[in-house]
Formats: sequence, structure tokens, C-alpha cells
Amino acid sequence: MRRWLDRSGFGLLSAPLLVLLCVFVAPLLVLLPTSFHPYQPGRGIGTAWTLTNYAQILGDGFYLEIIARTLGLGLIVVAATLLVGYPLAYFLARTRSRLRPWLIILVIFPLLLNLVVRSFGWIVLLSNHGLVNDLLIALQLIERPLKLMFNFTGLLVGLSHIFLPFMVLVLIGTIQNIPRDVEDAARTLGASRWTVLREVTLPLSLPGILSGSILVFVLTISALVTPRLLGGPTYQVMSTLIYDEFLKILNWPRGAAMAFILTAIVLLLVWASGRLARRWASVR
Amino acid sequence: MATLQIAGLSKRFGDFVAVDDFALAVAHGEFVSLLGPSGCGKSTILRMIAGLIEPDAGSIRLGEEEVAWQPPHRRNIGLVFQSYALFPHMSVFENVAFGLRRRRVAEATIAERVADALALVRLTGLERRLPRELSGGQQQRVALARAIAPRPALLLLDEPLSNLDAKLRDVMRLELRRLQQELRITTVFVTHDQEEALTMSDRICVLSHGVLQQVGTPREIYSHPATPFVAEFFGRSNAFDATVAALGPRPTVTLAGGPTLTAAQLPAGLAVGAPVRVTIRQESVALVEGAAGGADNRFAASLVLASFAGRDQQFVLRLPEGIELTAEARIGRGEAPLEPGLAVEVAIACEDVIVMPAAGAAGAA
Repeated sequence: MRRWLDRSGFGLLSAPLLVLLCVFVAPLLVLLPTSFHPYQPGRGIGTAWTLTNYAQILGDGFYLEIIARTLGLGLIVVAATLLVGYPLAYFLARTRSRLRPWLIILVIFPLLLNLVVRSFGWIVLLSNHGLVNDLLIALQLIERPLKLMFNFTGLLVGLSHIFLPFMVLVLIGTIQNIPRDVEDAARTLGASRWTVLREVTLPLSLPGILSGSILVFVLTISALVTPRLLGGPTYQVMSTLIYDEFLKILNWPRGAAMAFILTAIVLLLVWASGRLARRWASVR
Repeated sequence: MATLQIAGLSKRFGDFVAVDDFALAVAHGEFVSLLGPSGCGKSTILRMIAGLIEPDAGSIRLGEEEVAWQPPHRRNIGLVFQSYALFPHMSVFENVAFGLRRRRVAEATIAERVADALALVRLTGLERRLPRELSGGQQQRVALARAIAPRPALLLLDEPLSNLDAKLRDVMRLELRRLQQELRITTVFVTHDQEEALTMSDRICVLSHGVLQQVGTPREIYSHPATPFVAEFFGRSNAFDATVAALGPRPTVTLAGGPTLTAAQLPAGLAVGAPVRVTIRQESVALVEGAAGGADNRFAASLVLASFAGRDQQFVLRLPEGIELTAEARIGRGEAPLEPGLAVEVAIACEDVIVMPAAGAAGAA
């Protein structure tokens, strides 16, 4: 046992592993039975065992729409951060400018601000009498304010902005590891810059694109503060719904069931991406 | 008609002059080395020829065409990198086919030409391997096959051998030269290794601090260096500051704090008393016994140090005036090793006393 610990490196991991087990896995396991108990309004959590909580969520159009909305939001935020983040990361990874460290700090800087402040900033911009609408009306491009908040658009804009740094940081690391010589070799062999990007740089960035996407997706579907502020009390996603079930409606069993559905989706995704990454690694 | 013609090529990086007014013409099928210590601008020149660095000024003509301002993918040049720079996500076949695909060659022709290129570098059978499954030497060959498969007008080699171990380097050096002569492909080879340059090149182009020092055949450069830099760069040599002592058919120079030597010839335009730089290669310093031989310059010396170096033995000798000379000699079979402290006789032929204007006065000569 001792030798196994030494050799596998688990010895080094034991301390953080213990902390994770105590503060993360244990509460989760405590919550698991709750999701299988019935909720009796006015009386609290029953003692019988039942699957009603899961059946209700997965059989109800209202809940299914919110699950679909959450996953869709995750996918579109991933696409948006990739689209904006890849060129930015490529530039930051390849530039020889003396300003480079400052530019990278500029990318990280939003992470140093409080999440509520950043989300509130978007309210100032996007609300009916916000900067964007006022400007468009003043320019007489529109007559009535556009509905930019308390809907999908608001969440998409806010979440993409907030999670962009994560995508960029992951991509910078990957792109930096692609030797310049390899790109130069492609160019001397007759590839234009665009072909180099398509045939060499992008394929070699795939592992980074995958891990950045997983990271942003998981962060997006589990985000609470931004959807709450930009979505208002009525435009719900899974995390705000879970929050309401637990703290407003006090229907813990249903909240727990919802939370486990979200967890299952995340675990499935991480597992699938791990397999995909391993497949790429073996193809290469 | 030269395949490659470079004129007035210059490049600065900020205040640093990397290449200054460089000119070179390479004939079809010729193998020319750019040789110099690191930071002498040789790689910058190569990258400017390839189009990966834009020159500040100058002209690069490839055949009839001025390419100095063309992007690299329009130049029809093959480049082998020191790091090989293979595409890690592509098989050996796809790596070699890359340049052909960019030129929209038909699929059947691609297969044929990839096979030819791999046969040339003796890698037939490894088409489906990935670069990371190959040894360093094999990766090197793939890089070479990839560069020659599209039949470029010019092959550029950027220190392609320096990442290989010593034994493999010798093998690859010969193979590279054989391949180059078989294909008669015009080649520019960048190296800091004088031995590589001497053994492989038709002509060598010696550079220092971005300035061209001398162009010539290996023999010319070795025997008749044009500047003190070239003289001291090649071979292991002894270098001394000296002054001209006498002119005429048998000119002499006096080493600073040392003896006077007879030289075969002096550079033109030197007066008596002019400062010069004298270079004597280690292998030109002979140890002689008794009164044998009639060399031009003979001195008594004492042996300070003798070190064994396999085939050769190296000696440090002190002349009566206090000057130290290093000599290199083949050891005869069964010869007794020489011990420090021994009194010996030193001979240097007058042809081996290479005299050049002192570095500061080089421009005046």
C-alpha cells in the first residue's frame, strides 16, 4: 500500500483529495436521497421513496424547455467565445509586441472585478433605458427600445463577455505550444496564411479548443448570478430554477433532482470529451 | 545564368544590424554554405530568401524573377529547418505530400512523387508513421523529403544537422551531399560548423556580424583567407599581432615580443612597420629532430604541455622569447610519448605564415 502510494503519486494528492471529499462529494451524497423523497406542501420532506421528482421534471414541458434553453445557451456561448476568443488568443500568442504582458492583463482584468458589478454593467448597457437603446433611439435608428434584457439575448451577451477570458487563456496556452517553425514550414511549402490556419494551426489547436469549450460550457450552464441579474425573476435557466426551488419554494426534493440532472449532464460531457481527446491522441 | 542572385540585402532589428549590404550569386546546381558564428546574420539571410523575414532593402532574384517582396508561398523554395518542423498531426506521407497538394498536383502523381522522395531519403515503408514515432535522424529525412518533393527551384538548409548526434551527423552529411548532386538542386546551406561547410560545399560564404567576409571554394578560403576573421575561424590556429620587418621577395614579419618569421607573401600595399595579423594553423607547426629538413622558420622551443587527442596529439610549445605556440601532429605508431619539459625544434614553412593587415587597418588595404 505504502509503495503503491509512493509510486502512483496519490500520496501527493491525498490532502486535496480529502478536502474535496469532505466539502464537495459528501454534501452531494447527503443530497442524493433527498431527491428521491416526496415533497408535501406545508409538511416538508416525506420519508417515502419515489421517482416522482425526476419524472415530473423530465415529463413536464416547462422544465424541459428550461433544460433545453440552458444547454442551448451553453452551446451558443461556447460558439461566441470561440469565435471572438480564437483570433484574440492567436494574436496574443504570436505577437512580439512589448505590450503583450499588458494586453494579457487586459484580458484577465474582468476576472478581478466582482461578478455582480460586471453583470450590473450589462444592465446599465442593455436595459430599456440603457446606453444601447438610448443611443439607437437618439440616432433615430429605432423608435421603441429593443428588448435586450430578460431574454436569451441578454444572457448570451452577458455570459459570453464574462467567460471569454477563460476561453482566451486556455487557447493562448495551446497556440503558444505550436512551434512557429511548423507554420513557417507550411508557408514555404506553398500554403497561404489562410491555408496554414486551416491545415496546420487549427488542427493543432483542437485540444485547446476542446478544453476551452468544455470549461466555458460547464461554467455557462451552472452560472447563477448573471442569469439572475440579466434574466430577471421570470426568465429562468436551470441554475436559477434550482436556486428558487431551494430558497423560495422550499421544495428541496425537486431542487435536488434538478441539481442531479445538471450534474449528470456535466459529468457525461466531461467523460465524452475525455474519450474524444484520447481518440485524437491515438490518431496522432 | 545564376539561379539565385542577391544584391544589397540589408536587415536591421531595431538598432541591431543583422545583415548589411549582402550580395551573393549561386549558379544552377551549386551548393553554397553560409558560414559564421551564431548571430552573424546567416539564418536571417536564409529566412529572407525564403520570405519568412522581409528585408529592409535589397533584391533577391530567383531565376528571372524578383522575389524579395513576394510572400513565401509564391517562391517555389524548399526549406529544411533545424527543428525539422514536421506537421505532428500528419503521417509521413501527408507531410511529404503537403507541398504537392498546395500545388494542386493530381492524386496519382502525388503518390508517385511522395514515394520517389521517400525512396531518395531511404524511408520507404514508413509512410503511415507519425513524426513522433520516428527517430531524430528519420525525422530529419522526412523534413528533407518534404522540402524536395515539390521540386523547388532552390533548397535552403538551416543547420539541418546540428540536432543529430555526432555519428549520425557524419552519415547525413555525406547523404545530403550525394542527394544534392544526384538531383542537381541549387542549395544554400547555413551552418556554424566549419567542417560541415568545408566538406560539403562547392563554395563557402563566410559572414561576421552581418557582413560578408569572403566567398570562395573551401580550398581558397582555407589556404588564402581574405581577413583575419576568416583565417582564425577556420581550423585551430595561433594568431599574433605583428609588424612588417622587411619587404621584397622574402618578406619578414616580427611578432609582438617574439621572433621574426619569413612569409611567402604579404598583402599588397603594406610598408615596413605596418601593423599586421599573423595566423599560423596548428597543423603547420612541425616538431623536428636534429638538423633534418630545411624549413624557412626554425626555432628552439620547450614543450610545455602534451595532450593526447586520439589520432592527433596536441602540444603547447614555448619559444625562448616567451611566446606560446600550439601545434597539432599525427602520432606515429609506437612512437614514445613526448614529455613536458623536453627541448624540441620547431619548423614552420613560409607558405604557412598567413599575413593580413591588422583588423583595424583592413579597409585601407
